[in-house]
Amino acid sequence: MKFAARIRDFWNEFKHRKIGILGLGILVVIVSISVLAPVIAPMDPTRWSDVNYWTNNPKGVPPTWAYYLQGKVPIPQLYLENYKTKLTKISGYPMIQVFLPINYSYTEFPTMVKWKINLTFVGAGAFYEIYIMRPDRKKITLYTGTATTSNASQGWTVIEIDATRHPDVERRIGEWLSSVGLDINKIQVAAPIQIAFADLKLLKKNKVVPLKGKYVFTVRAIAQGKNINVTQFRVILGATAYGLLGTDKSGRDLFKGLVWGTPIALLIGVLTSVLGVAIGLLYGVTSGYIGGWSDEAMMRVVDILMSLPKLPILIVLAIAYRPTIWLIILFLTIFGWMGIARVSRSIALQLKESAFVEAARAIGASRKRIILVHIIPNIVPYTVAALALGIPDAILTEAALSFLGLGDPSLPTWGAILNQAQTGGALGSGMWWWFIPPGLAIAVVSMAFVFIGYAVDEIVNPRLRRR
Amino acid sequence: MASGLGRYLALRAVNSVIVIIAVVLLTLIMFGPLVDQQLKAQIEMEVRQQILKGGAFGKYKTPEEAKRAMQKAIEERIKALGLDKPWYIRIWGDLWRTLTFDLGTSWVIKSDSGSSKVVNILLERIPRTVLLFGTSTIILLVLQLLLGAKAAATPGSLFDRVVVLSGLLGYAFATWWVGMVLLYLFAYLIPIFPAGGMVSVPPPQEPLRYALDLAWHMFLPVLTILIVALGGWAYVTRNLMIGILTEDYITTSRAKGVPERKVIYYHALKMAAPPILTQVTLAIASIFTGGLLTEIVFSWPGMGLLYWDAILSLDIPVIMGDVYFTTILIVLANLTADLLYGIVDPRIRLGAGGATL
Repeated sequence: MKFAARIRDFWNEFKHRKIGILGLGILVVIVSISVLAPVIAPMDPTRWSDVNYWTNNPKGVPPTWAYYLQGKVPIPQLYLENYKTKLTKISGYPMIQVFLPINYSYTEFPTMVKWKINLTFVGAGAFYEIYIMRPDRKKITLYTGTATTSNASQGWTVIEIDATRHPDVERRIGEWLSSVGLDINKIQVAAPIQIAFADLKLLKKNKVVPLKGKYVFTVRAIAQGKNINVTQFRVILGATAYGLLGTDKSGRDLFKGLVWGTPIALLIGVLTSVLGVAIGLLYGVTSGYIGGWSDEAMMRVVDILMSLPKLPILIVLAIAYRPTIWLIILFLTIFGWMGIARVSRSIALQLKESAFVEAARAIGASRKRIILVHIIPNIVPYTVAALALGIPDAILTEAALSFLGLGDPSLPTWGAILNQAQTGGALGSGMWWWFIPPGLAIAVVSMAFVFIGYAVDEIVNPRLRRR
Repeated sequence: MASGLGRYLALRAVNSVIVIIAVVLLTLIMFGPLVDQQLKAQIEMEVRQQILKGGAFGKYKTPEEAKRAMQKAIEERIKALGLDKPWYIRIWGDLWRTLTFDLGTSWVIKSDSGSSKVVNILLERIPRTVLLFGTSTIILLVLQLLLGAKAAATPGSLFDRVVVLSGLLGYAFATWWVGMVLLYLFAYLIPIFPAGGMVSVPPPQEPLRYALDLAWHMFLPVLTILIVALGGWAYVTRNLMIGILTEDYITTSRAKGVPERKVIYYHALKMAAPPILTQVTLAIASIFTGGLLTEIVFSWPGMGLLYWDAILSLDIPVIMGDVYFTTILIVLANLTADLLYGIVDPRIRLGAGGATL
């Protein structure tokens, strides 16, 4: 009952502190985001670094709202799957033509062109060609290839190619351009495939603008045998904007990364800080209560640990162990308890001489009992602020480690996203949506705890109270 | 009194030596197996090349014979280098070599002058980091004293609130991320500052132009460190000053008619100096590590960028050397602060000296 009353008193003080309430408000929001992450951003977080998981997303495109802010309408992601088939014969061999039309009426180029073709045949082998028929009746061969079979009777092949920056496709487009008297090296485009959609007349005037009209992606395949068939033909045209926070260069949905980074950051911060406070409290109180020579020795250890360079040692540990998130929390804890130990010790030194501890000792309470029942509960209020302030410290340190590429590689931590932004040249290519949100998220979560810690500190340490 | 300072400094120095030895031992234990592995692989490759020189089995008749000779040569080399002894025996030799700056050769990274000696690589990097970090620290110290004192003079004012808030915000932002944002804004979006590096390529020949070019490249990284750290430092000074401004002798000075400016910036600041220095000691390591990561963002070719390069290429000897020198620099910075502390506060005694939290 006494404890509940203390809590109530504390809350009555706390609720008058605007900054504390602000921190608490932010905390409620980030805890909600953490809990609702599977609903807001459905994803298996352990597949974050699995590039195949994101392969069909447009790569490195801005958020949709940013597009609308500029007064432009983004091209949506286009999945073309309804193909038409035409079977003929050419000099006795079976030939198949598969058509995938698209009415392209956008003012911008697709950011990605990917196709997947499932080709089956009966015979020794097959030859295939992928080309595009343009609205101006020009034909551009994009890709050719052959499929063979070992048993000379039945064969199949899956042609799945990201043509956006594919060297073969680039060479083919270059050949087509030189056939119309242009040089691919003199044309400025984000990706070579976009030239296939460019208006030729304007291209000759050095303007790269899409040609509107009907394009037909076509596969033509001839079997050296009896039979040929295409069981799947799909073309994906990449959107120019994606979701709430765009994508990174591997097509990862950055909104999902940001959302899933929240519970991870909270876990790291809270667990590290709680463990650190618990260890520091026990250590400091023991040291202070025992006193004398062992107190001196224990405090020297704290001094030395406090002077250790945190980040370099964490770098060494992380390289040697390639840690999981749990090991990182353990490493961070090693550096996170000394401050509390010092404070706890100095309070324990005062409490040791106080009347109620003297009384407890007089009636024969054991040392362990005095520490656990009489001293620690009286120090706990002082550690609440340190607990709150330890959380941003842990979050920032983990982010630094992940930024160096030494975090848990399987998880979408904010630091890891910033590491990928740094190595992926996000700044140089102006992809602000890649590096601004994760850093802001780190700051906002840290802020919540800093504000709460500040407010709590003012309440429990009245001598520190400032106007 | 002099003996008190001497004892205090001696204890701090012992502490520093223990810290350095502990860090080196830790890196040696952690990286020992990796280094051994690499060393053995290198020996094997060299021996193989030597034995198989000329002909399929070299001068040996059968492959078995060549193999046996190779095995023997490898074992001899390993023995000569002492690699056959257990790590807990070898580590003391390694410790001594590291402490005496014999840091071996790098695996991948070379110094600008083309040397593979880890010491040479670091000797190139250290002045650059010291330049960036030293400049930031000096500006930081001066500005925080002025801002902190001014805030303390008018507690509760708008200025004071801004100082408190920016102090709190400083704890929440990652320095290197603020660097990324500034770099994006002022080197890419509005290109008025360089996108990275320490000097232009090629660097200007004339000394004055060189200095200006250097300052131009340093502006954003220093600004980054200031933005994040200044609030926190000023906040600490402000709190200490507010405590001191309520003391009786300050009231006395004011009553005597000492001008308010002099009361705050001379009498009170002088009293606040020792605890401020304590806080500085605690903060130096944190802004140093923040600075190392900021170097990466701004491609400032110092010790921080060296960590990045060495981690990317997994150049263990370079990482070990970098950790060693980072530790030395942090320890030296702390010792300097301790020395200053001892000078400004002659009452110093260990234990009673440090402010807690």
